Amino acid sequence: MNGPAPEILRDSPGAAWEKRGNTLWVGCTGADCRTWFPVSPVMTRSGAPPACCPDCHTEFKLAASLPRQGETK
Amino acid sequence: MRDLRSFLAEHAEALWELPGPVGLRHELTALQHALDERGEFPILMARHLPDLDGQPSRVPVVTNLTASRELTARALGIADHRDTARWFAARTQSGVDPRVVSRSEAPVQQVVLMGEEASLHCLPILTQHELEPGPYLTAAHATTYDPDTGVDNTAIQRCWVKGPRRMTYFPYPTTHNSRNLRKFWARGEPCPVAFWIGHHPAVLLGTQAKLRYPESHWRAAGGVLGEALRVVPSVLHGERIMVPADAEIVIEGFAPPNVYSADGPFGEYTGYLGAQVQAPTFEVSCITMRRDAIYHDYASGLTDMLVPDNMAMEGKVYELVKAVAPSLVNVHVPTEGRRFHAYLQLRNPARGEARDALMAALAYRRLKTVIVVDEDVDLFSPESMLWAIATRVQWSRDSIIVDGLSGSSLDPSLPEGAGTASKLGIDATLPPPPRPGVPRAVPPVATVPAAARERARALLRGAPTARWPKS
Repeated sequence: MNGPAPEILRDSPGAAWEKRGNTLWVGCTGADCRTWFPVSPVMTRSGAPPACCPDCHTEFKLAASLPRQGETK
Repeated sequence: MRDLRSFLAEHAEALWELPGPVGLRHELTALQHALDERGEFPILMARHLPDLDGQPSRVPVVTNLTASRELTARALGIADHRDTARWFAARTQSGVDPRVVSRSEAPVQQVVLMGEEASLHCLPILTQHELEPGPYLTAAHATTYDPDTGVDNTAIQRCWVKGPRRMTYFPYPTTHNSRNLRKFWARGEPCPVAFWIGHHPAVLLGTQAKLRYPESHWRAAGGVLGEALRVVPSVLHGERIMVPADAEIVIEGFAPPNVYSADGPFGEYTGYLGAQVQAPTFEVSCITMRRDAIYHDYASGLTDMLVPDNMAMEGKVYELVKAVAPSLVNVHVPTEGRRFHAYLQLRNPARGEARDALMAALAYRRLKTVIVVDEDVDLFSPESMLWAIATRVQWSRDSIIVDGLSGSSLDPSLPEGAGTASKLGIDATLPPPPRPGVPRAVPPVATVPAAARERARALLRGAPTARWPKS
């Protein structure tokens, strides 16, 4: 990934994700995995199922709310 | 009666049975990427594959079935693939009612597996692309029904196989199947679904016809097939969900209310991976199949899937545009534009009609760029289309950009947070002559006489063309 520093949400429970344009990227939280994969914003909503790493299949919840455009927390 | 195997028998010359085993993960799909890059489109048959438990599977895989536009058109009975738009629109509109047959007459119910025996792991299901989380059904046609009216609906919808009897099921939220599912869930009931796999390409395309809601696809499929589609009550859902009697495999079960799990990333028609989403979960109760079933796989994002889908789109776009632009004569949805481009051809359009045609086509959710040309431009030749754009367009005069229209959320160029798309229409038609019988206000196209062209062709027939550079 190239370009400016991503907006990173760190103050709500769940795995952090990075926003690039219209795509959210999340890194697997599984030990020794760290696979990055794109997720839909629907996966950050309350009630959404846990994300699932496509490589190691570790399941984990994503941070709950989207930052507003331009906001960096 | 036509089915997958009658199609394979009729087109044996186009079938390549792979000489050895090939891996379910990525390898068969890699072969399809390589073939697409070479511009070669055989049907592929792979035998002696493992199933999802790693055991030898009795079920072979057929894929690349519809990668060739010419072959797919011939399968439909269209002599020239360039006639698809009008043909498809007419056949899906006229339709042929389905014919219900008994279970004893239905090859797809020769084998019935229930309970623990109904295991998806017995099938050789592919994992196509890197970063996809596991094996996906890509040619599963999901049939549901509207609980208010009983009218069924069918669409291809992907399923990630997560266990022997469990998978995700992803009907995009705007689809008719999703609407049916939500209606069942609103009643607190599980949604009954039957997924059927493998049939004649005419049936596969017919069930992709874009219809109203609620409207069954069986009649349109019969129209495209040219005969009544034979259907049979599903084992689990009975007459509430019919399935094609001559399909290869049927997977039956329920999507329990409001049970979601992660689905994707998945290689989409755009050529990019679609992000991981939440998808309903599906629980398998029953699998039926032929004794010698063939598993059909569509290569997602490759010509194998783009060709049939775009051909069906051409029929729908033709219907939409013809209603407002009677001079429309043809439509092409080129695979190089994925599902985002459409080319329209008009014959002597009246003043304003080219723009009417553009606006009608741009209203179709999937389309993002629409180009309208005259009859002398070959819609099926990228060179010809680019020539028309290069020489007949002044951008400030001939292009229109419309923002805020519905579009595909899978378009990676959408700006952050966008709920709608920005679309482009290009009028590459020439202005009409100032009065009848007078040349247009542009120079004539440089041509050579027909006799000279024929002499050139005759010369080339004896030339050593195989040795010549191709680009």
